[in-house]
Amino acid sequence: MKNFALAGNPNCGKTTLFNSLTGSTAHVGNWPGVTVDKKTGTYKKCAEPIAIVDLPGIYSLSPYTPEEVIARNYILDEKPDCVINIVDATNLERNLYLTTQLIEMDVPVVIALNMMDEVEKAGDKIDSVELEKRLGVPVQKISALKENGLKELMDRAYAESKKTRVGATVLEKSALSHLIGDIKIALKGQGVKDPLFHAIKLVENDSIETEMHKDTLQMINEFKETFEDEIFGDDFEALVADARYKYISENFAPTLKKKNKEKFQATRSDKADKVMTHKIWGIPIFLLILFAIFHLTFSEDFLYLGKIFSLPSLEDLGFLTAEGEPLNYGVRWLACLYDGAVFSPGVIINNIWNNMLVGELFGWLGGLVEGSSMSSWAVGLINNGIFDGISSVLSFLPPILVLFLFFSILEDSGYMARIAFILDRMFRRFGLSGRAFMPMIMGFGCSVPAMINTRTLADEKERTATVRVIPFFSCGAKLPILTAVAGAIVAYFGVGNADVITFLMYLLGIVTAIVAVLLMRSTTLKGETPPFIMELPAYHAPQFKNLMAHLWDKTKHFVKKAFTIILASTIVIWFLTHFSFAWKFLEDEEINQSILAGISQLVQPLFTPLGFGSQLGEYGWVFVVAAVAGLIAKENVIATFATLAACLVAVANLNVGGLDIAAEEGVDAVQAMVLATGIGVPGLIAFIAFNMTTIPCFAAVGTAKAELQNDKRFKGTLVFWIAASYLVAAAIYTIGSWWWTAFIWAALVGLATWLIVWLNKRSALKAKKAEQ
Amino acid sequence: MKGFEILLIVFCVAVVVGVIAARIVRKKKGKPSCDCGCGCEGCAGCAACAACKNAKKETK
Repeated sequence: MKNFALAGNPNCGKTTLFNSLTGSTAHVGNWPGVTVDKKTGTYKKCAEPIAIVDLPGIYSLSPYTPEEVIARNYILDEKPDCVINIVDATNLERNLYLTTQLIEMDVPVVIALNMMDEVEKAGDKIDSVELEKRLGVPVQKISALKENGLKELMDRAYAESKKTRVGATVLEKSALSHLIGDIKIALKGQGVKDPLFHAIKLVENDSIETEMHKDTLQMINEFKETFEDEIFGDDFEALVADARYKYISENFAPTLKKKNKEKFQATRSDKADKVMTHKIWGIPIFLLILFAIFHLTFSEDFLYLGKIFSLPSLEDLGFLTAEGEPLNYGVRWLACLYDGAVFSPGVIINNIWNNMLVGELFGWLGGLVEGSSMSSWAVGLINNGIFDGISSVLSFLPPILVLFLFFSILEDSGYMARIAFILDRMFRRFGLSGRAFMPMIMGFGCSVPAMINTRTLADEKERTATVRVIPFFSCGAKLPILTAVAGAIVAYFGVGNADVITFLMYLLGIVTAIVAVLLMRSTTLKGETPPFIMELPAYHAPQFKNLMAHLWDKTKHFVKKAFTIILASTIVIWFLTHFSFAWKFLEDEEINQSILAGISQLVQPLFTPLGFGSQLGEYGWVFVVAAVAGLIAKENVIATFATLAACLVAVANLNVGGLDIAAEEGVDAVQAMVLATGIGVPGLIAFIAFNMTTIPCFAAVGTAKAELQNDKRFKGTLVFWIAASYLVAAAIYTIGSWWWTAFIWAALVGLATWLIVWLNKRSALKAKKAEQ
Repeated sequence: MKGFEILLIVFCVAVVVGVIAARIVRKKKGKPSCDCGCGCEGCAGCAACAACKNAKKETK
């Protein structure tokens, strides 16, 4: 099978082309640095199947970043049959810089002029025939997004792959040509492959090459001593870069005929950026957009129309029976959309999914089991253990998908890249560059790819700090905890709105991350903040195909997880709550004698300062179990609630009397917990905060261990997560319960800040003395 | 105990053992237990996930 590599600048459309060619659904984002490692797929429309490798986006083949090393090593070592160099046609000159380096390798190269639709839309033209002649390699116009010219591109690449190509350089007529020629001959004599490429890199003082070809260094250095450039002196790297750019602007750039020959024309993106990235309004606009997303996903009063116009409820309209049930099937549907207020789109989808589909399905299945001749333990296991656990997790699929649809729209439109730009100013003060914010944003989806994406951060200390705070950016799996607990707070205590509480908890995560970074970068992970340079991609309308691919992927894995790890966990939890240490089967009302209760009650006092420990009485241990189960996968928290709530419903009815909550969904399950334990709002908020900031799921912990590559640092990270979650949750609970403790916390923060400043000054003084 | 109840116990044991075994097998194959919901194919670090160690060696 032939092997083609896709190489190009960041955000030039490589992954879009990769997906179009291979039918993959690799993550495409409208910001640079989405792909941090190579991905493979197969193209099947040529005479033979072709393996396609999507390399990470790079600006050059110099070893400045890990992505550049990965791409360069792949091409040099794996020797693909052809390299397809994707060039962003809207930014021709800068993109061709990489091309000038790729054509120096002894490998067939084909240029894919991508985004030609954008060029033509702007009224510009590129003479691809002339460009092909000047470059000496085939050039094909394409639009990866619209899938134009892809067949022709692959046919040409396939034809090229059958030929042997020797590298050529644009530096032939530069002042360095003799030196390059001499080194090339020397390397060729030593049997080095790609001698031209290595020769030029040696001239550039490339760190990898100088290490690899120590024998040739003396000859190069002798020559260099005799060479002095008027402008660049002996900076050979700058000299080579300048020669490349000069050649590009003189020979390749003229193939682009611009409709408007004025030097700078503000595009629509530029005009939009004047507002969206404004130095004062940028952050408020970002917060407003974030709130709008949560409002559209979670609010039960869309645009607060219910409050503004005092709309009547379904009960006021006489659409409910005396028991509060909808009069007929039509009203059931209406109740999904309206009840005293119009629901937001997220809530409407959620209601339809839960009330009309999942609720019905599991209700019907539960009825079948109840009506069977099975023993009570088997009915309990199936209905309370398996069905309640799975249905409670599945009930959160709609809000997760709606939320991620909005996040995907932000990402695909190009706004995410702006957020990094806006926040760079703020983050820089705390010791992180805007670049570190990209993986953090990915953390809203899942901590695992987010932690891997930190490879784009060159500074090791900055990377460690970023990996540590990524779990504070609430991932999709934590959303059910937020939604269920916030929903229960609103439904049971009548406090606030679900959208506002959820939004504030997300903000709490961001603030905790900033404070933690500030602390780390001032103490254990001190270091210079690297400069942040990022090309802002043009805004464009989100692609329906991309959005659907994101959502499908999310759905697939969420459902898979519900039927594997969540199912297994709920089964284990059901068994542990229905058997005593003496291996006696226990009824629902007897769960306090269970194995799980016995173990949990031992550690329950540890959670007392957080509001869900010993003060909750005999059933308080359920919160401890849920929090610990969340370490396996965060969805487990709600699945555990649902499994335990089924038992506690009986307890709650016995203790409270008359209150009947069907613990089929997450919100009901949390309400059952509230009834049985008497936990208050501060305790519930502290519970959310603890789960948001504590040790993430096993998969994320494993990734952190792999990415940190340092056992001591990894153990430190675990301690950091436990300490951070404990302190944040304790602060929330104590301040929420006794407002005056805010002063104690403020004093402690002040003391910690003073201590850091003092220690910093002391170490600076020590360093100064040591220098003297 | 009825036949169905025995089947139920077997099913529960199979699910729990299966999930644990699948994780061990994946780990032995060098693949992480990426149940993150991000989707391995769709994940930005897809290849890194599947061949994490090799990628790191290359980077070095």
